[in-house]
Amino acid sequence: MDTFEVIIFTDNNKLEESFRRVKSKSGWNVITHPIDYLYRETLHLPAQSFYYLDITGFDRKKFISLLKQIKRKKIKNWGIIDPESIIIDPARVLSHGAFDYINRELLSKGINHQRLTRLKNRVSDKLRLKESSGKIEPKIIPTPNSWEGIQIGKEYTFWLMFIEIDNQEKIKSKLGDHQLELAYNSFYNFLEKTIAGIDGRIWIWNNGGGVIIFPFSGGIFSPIITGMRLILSRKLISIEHLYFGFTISYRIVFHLGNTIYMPRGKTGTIVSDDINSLFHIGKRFAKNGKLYITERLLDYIPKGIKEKLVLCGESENLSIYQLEI
Amino acid sequence: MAISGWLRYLVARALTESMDVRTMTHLVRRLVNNYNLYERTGFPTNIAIPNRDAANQIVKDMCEWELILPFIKLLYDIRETGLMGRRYQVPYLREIGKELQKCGYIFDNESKMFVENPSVRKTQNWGILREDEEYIFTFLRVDMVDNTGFVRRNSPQTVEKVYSDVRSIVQLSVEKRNGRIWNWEGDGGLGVFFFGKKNNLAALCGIEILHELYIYNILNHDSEKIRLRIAIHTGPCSYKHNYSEIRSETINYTELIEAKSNYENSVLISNTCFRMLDHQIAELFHQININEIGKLYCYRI
Repeated sequence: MDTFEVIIFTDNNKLEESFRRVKSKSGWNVITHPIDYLYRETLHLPAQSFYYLDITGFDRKKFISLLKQIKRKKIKNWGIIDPESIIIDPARVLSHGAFDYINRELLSKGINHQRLTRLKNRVSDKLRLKESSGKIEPKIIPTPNSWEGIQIGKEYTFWLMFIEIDNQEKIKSKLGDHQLELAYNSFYNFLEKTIAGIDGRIWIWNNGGGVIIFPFSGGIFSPIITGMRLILSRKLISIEHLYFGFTISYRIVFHLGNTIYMPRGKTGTIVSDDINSLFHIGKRFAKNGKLYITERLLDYIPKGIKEKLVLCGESENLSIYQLEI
Repeated sequence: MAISGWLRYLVARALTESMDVRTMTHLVRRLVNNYNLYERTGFPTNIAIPNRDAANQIVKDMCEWELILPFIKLLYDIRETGLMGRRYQVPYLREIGKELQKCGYIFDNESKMFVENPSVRKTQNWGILREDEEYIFTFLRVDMVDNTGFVRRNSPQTVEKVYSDVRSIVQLSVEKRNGRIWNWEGDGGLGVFFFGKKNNLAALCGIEILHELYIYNILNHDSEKIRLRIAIHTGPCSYKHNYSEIRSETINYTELIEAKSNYENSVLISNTCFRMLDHQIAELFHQININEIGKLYCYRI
C-alpha cells in the first residue's frame, strides 16, 4: 500500500499530537517542519502528500506572504491550521486554493484518518482523471422544493455562480476607504436584490466578489439570463445602482456542482471540489468583463443562448465556454 | 385622490395653531388667486371667521380642488423660507408627512413635490398634474421598424404576442424610473418622464429597452428579430387627462426624430436633451446629423 505523507509546517512542537490518530494508521505518515522550511529553496515536496500550514501568530502581511510562497512553490493539496481563528471567514481560504481548514475545535478533538482518507480519495480521483482524460460528473442531488427542501449539513447539487469585480487594486487606489466601502456595499446590495428575484443567495463573499448559489431542480438554467443582463448593462448598472463613480466590470462564471449546505458564515469546514474549481476558474482562467459557463451546464442552457457560446479552453479538467455578447 | 380624514384633520390643526385667518388666506391665494373665505364659508363679512372654521374650510376646498398636495408643500415652504418676510413654525408636519406616505405619496427631492408612490399606485398624471397646466416633460417615443412587413410575414397571434412583449419591456423600463406610458398603439408608443432627473432617466430607459430587446431576440431565436427605434426629447407640454387632446410641439418633434431616423436598434436624443445629461450618461452617446433635424446624439449596442 502507498504511504501518504501529511507534512505540517508549524513552530508548535505539540501540534503533531492532534494528528496522532492518523500517525497510528498504516499507510499514513505525519512529519512536522518549522514554518521557515517552507521558504527553503531546496525543499522537496512529494506529490502524494498533504501540506498543512499552521498560521498561529500570523498577521495579514505574513499570511499573504505565505500564500505567495505556496503559489511560488506550486504546492497542491494544502490546508490551513488556524488554532487562534485568525481567519474570520474560513471559506475564503478555499478561494485561495486551500482544500482543508482546521480550527481549534477540530485540533482539540484530534484529526482522524477518515477525514484525511476522504480528502485523499478526492485527490486520487483528480489524479486519475488527469491521467485518463476522463470526466467525472457529479452525482446529482436536486432540490425540487427549492430552498425549502434544503437542510443544513446535507449535500446537494447547486447552480453555482462566481462573480468578481475586475481591477480591484486600481479601484482601491482611486477611492478613499470610506468611498470604497460604500461602493462595495452598493455592489453587494444590488447583486443581492437581483439574484433574490431568481432564487439565488450570496453564499461566500469577500468585498468585491464571491459565490452565489441557486437550488438545482433540473430545469432550464435561467440565471444565465440575469448573467447576460449584468454583462450587457454594466454601464447602466454602474450609473444607476453603484457608488464607484465610474463604470466597473466584473467576471462571471457559471458552474454546476455539489456541496454540503451550511448557512453563510459557517462555511469554514466545507470541502467541495466543485466550489474549489469554480474559484480557480474565476480567479485564474476568466478574463475581465466576460461571462463563462462550464461544460456541465450545456444541457440546461436555453437554445438561443447556446448558439452564443464559444469553446474557449479548459480549466480544472472542464471545458469552458464563453458567452459572446 | 384619496386623502384620509386624519390627514385633513392634521392639516387643519397645523393651520389653526400656526397662523391667523388673514395669513391662511394669503397662503391659499398662492394657489387660487381670487380665493374668498367669506364666500366659501358663508360667514357674514362683518363677522370675524374663527381660526378653526377657516382652516377646515380651506382644507375642504383644497381636497375638493385636488390642490391639497401643493398646499401641504406650501406649509413646508413657509416653515423653511417664510411668508411675507416671516417664518412660521408649522406644527405636525412630520405627522402629515407620515400620513401622506400611508395615503400613497412620497416626496420627490428633485422637484420638491409630493407625488404618488409608484409602488402603491400609478396614474397617468402621477396624482398631481392638472388639466391644461403646462409642465416640462421628457418624452420617449418607441416604434417598431418595418411593422407593416412584420404584420404581413407573421400570424395575427404572433403579432399580438410580440406587441404585448414589446409593450411589457417598454412599460417595465419606463415605470421603474417613475415614468408613465401615455400612449400605446400596438407597435409603439410614448413614455413620459416628469420627476427626478428626467433626461437622465429617459436616456437610461431607452438604453435598457435596447438591451432587453437584444436578450429577447436571443431567447426567441426561432422568430423574426424585432427592431426598434427610440427617440427622446424634452420640452413644455400642456397636460390633458385625455391623451388624444394633447397638442404639443415637443411631442411632435420627438415623433419627427423617430420618423426621420434610419438608425435601427438605437436611441436618438435631441440636442436639447443631450445638453442636460450627466457626463457619465452623455459619454455613452455619439453625435450624428440627420437632414431636416440637424444634430442628434445616438446610442447603439
